Amino acid sequence: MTEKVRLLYVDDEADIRDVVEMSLEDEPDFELRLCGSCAAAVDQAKTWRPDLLLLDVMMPGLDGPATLEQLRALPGMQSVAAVFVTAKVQAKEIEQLTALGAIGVIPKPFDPMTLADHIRTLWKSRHGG
Amino acid sequence: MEKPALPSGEADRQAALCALNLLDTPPEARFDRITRIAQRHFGVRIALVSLVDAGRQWFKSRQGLDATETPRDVSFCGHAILSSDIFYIPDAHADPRFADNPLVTGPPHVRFYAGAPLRAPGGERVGTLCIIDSAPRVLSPEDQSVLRDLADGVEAEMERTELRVSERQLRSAENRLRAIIETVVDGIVTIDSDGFVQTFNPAAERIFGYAAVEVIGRTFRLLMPYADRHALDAYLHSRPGSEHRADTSSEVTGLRRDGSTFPMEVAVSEMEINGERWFTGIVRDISDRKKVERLKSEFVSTVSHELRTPLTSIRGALGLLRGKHAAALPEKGRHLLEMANRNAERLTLLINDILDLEKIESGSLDFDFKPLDLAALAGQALAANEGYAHQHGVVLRHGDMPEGAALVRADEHRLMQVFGNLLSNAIKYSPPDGEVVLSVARRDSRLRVTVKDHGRGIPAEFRSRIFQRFAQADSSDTREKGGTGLGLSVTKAIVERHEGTIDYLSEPELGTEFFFELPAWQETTLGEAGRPGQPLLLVCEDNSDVARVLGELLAGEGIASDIAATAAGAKSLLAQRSYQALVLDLSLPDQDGLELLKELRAKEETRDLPIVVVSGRANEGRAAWQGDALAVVDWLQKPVDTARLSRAVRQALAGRARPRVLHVEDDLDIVQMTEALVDGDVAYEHVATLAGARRLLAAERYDLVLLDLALPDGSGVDLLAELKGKVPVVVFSGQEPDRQLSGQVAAALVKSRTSNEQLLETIRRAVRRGGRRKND
Repeated sequence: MTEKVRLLYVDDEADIRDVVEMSLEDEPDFELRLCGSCAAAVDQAKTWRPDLLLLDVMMPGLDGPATLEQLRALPGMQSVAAVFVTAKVQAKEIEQLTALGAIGVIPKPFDPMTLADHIRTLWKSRHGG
Repeated sequence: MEKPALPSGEADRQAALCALNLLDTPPEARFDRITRIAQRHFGVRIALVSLVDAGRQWFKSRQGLDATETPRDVSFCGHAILSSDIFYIPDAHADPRFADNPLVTGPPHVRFYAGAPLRAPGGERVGTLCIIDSAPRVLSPEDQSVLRDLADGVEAEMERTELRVSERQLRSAENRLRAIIETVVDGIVTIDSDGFVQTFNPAAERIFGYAAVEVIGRTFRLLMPYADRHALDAYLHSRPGSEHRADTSSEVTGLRRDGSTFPMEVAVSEMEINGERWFTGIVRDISDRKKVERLKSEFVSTVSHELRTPLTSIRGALGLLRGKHAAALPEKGRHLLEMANRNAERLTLLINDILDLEKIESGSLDFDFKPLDLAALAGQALAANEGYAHQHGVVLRHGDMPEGAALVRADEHRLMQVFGNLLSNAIKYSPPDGEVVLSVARRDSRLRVTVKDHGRGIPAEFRSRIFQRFAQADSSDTREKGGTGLGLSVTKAIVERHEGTIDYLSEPELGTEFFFELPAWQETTLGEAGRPGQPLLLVCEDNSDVARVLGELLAGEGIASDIAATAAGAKSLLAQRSYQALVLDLSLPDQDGLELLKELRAKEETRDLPIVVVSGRANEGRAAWQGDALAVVDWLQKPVDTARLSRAVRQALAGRARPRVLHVEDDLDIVQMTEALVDGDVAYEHVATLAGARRLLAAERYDLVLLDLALPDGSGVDLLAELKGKVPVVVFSGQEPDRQLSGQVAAALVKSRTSNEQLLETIRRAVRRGGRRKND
C-alpha cells in the first residue's frame, strides 16, 4: 500500500467512534474520517472521497444499508467498498448484509488491537494487496 | 312365634333389591294402582307391595295401613320370600308360627295373610305383593292365580324402574361426556377412514369459524391449506403401528372459514367403532404460543444487540488501554485493568451463548448437515485449541482413532463448537502440566467422541444439574474458570440436534471423561431380510431420516428395501443385489442424481430398472431431464405425498410407467374426487388456473389434459386452441359443449351428467388412444 486508504467510519455512538479512531490512529496505511449519521457521511464524501466505508448498521434515521445506498448514489462512488461493523451477528443477518455488496462484516464487540489488521485483510482480499 | 329364616344367597338378594332403586322412594301411582285393585278385588283391609330389606320390610305401596315399615323379625313377608309359591295363612290364630305375633295380637290384628313373592329381574325374591285382613278367610285357587297375575304386574313395573335407572345413568354419562366435549377448550374433530368429518365440537367451531353443520359430512381437507394436507393424508394412509403413528402430535397450518390460516397443533388418535376405523383429532390453535415464542426470540436477539453496543465501547476502551497504555499504569492499576478486560470478554461470550441457545432451542438455527469424518474433525479441534491449552500449561493429545473413515452426518461449524467447548472445559479444569486426551471410537452403529482430563472431577450431587443453564459445580468456578455457565447447555442442544447423546463419567480427584455419541453415517444399509418372493427396492437417499421414513413406508406396503446414502453406494449395491426398482433422491453428496440416472439408463443391467424420483428438486429435475420421458415412473417433490409414492412404487413394481394427466380445474372438491377416481391408473396432477396450466404445459409432457372451461382467469376454450394437436384433451365442465368444441377434443363430458365410471372410462380410453398415436 503506497497510498493511504481513505476510510470513512459512520456510527451514531460517539464512544465507539472514539474507540475506532484510537484503534486506527497510529496506522500508516489508513487515513480515517468519522461521521455520526448518514447525512454527515454524505456531506463528507462529497468533498473527501473514501476508498472504504465502515458502516454501523443500526442507526437512528437512515441505517447502515440506507447510508450505503446514499453514498453509492454519489458520483464516482457506485462501487465503493464497504464493510459493516455491527452488533447484528446472526448468520442470517450477516448473509443479508453481505448480499448488499459488503466485502465483509466485522462483529461488535471487536478487539481494538486487531481491528486494523482485520480491515487490512478485507481490503487486500478485495484489491489483491 | 317363629322368626322368618334368612334365604340362601341373602347378600345377593339384598344387592338385587338395592339395584332396583326402589327402597325409600316416594309412593308411585303405577304400584298404587295395583295394590288398590288387589284391595278391591279381594275385599281385604290391607294390600301392600312389601320389600324385604336387611332388618325391615318396607312398603313401596300400601292400602289400608299407615305404617311405612315393620321389623323383618315379625313380618309375614319374610316367610313369603322363602318360597316361590304364594305364602298363605288362612287364620293366624290357628297357626302356631303366628298366633303370638305382635302384628296378630296387636294392630293391625292380622288374621288372614296371602303374599305372592316378587322377583327381581335376576330371579331374587325381594318382596311380596300381599293382601291382609283381620278376619280369617280362604283363598280359592282362582284368587291365588289373580294374586300371582297382579304380582307379575308389580314385577314388570320393577323392571321398568331398573331400565329407567340404567337409562338415566347412561344418559347422564352421555351428558357428562357431551358436556366435556362441548366445553373443552381444544377442538375435537372426528373423521372416518375416508377423511369425512363426523363430529365437530364447539371449540372446533370457534377455532375454524365453521358451524358444525357446515363441516360434518365434508372432507377434513377443507380445514387445512392445500400444501399442508399431506401430513394428515400420510397418517390416514399409513398402517396401524407404523412409525407414522407414533408421532401423533404435530404442528400444521389450519385454514379458517374466512380463508385465514393459523398454526395449530394436532394430536390424532385412531379408534375402531363397530368395525370402522375412526380418527379423533384434538386441535389447538397455537397462535398465541407461537407469538410468545417469537417475541421471546426477538427479545433475546434485541437484548443481545443492545448489550453489544455499550460492550463495544467498554471492550474497545479497555483493549486500547491495555494494548497501548498499560505500561504507564501502576501495578495495581494494571491488575484492575486485567480484571475489567477479562470480565468484558466473559460478558461477550455470555451474550453469544445466550443467543446460540435461544436459536437452537427455538429451532431457528439452520444446521448444514453433511457427511463428515469425525476423526478429521477431532484433529482440527485439537489444533484449534492448542493455543488455549498452552496458555494453561496443559498438553492436548490424540487418543485412539477408529480405522477407516468415521463418518457422521453433521454441521461442521456447530460440531467444532461442541469439540471446542468440551476441550476448553477439560483444559480449564486440568491441573498444570495435566493432559487432555481426545479419542474417537466406534460403538455398534454409533461413533463416540471422548474428552478425558485428569482434573478434580465433578461432584456426584452435581450430576442432575450439569447440563442446565448457568450450572457450575461451585459458584466460585465461574469467577475462577471464566466460563459462562451456558457452554454445556449449548453443547447438549447441538449434540441433540445431531440425534446424538452426551454424558460423562467422573471420579473425584482422578478426572472426568465427557463423551458424546452420534449415529454413524453409513454409505449403505441393508434392510431386514425379506420373505421369499417379497419385492426388494433400493432407496438412494443421503438424509438418513428421510431414508428411514421411506423404508418404513415401503415396509408398510410389504416391500423390503436397502438404503444407499451415496451414488457410489447405490451403484455398488446395484451390482451386488437384484432390485425390482430404485427410489432416487436427486441431491446426493457424491454425484448429481440426474447424472446417476443417465448413467443407470446407459448401462445394460440397469437400463430397464424402474425408477421413482423422490427429491426436493424433483420438479426442477423433471424439467431438466433430457432423456426418455418414460425413463422415470414418477417425479415426486418433497415433502412426499405418501399416497402418490405408494402408487408410484406399485406402478414401478408392475413395470410400466403411468400416463400423466393434467387436470385443469379450480373446484377442489372435483379435483379430490377425480384424483381418488383415477388413483393408480394415471399419474395425476392438477392446476387451478389457465396461467398455471400454460406454465406446466410449456415445461412438461402430459399424456392427457382434463379441462374445465370456466376457470378463474379465463375460459378453457382459449387453452384448447393453443393445445391443438399437441396433447389429447378431454373437456370436463359444467357447460354443455357446442359442436365445434366437441370436434376439437377427444371427448367432452358435462359434470352433472357424467357418472364416475363414465369419467374414468373416458380418461382411460383417451390415454390409450394417445399412447397408440405416440407409438405410431
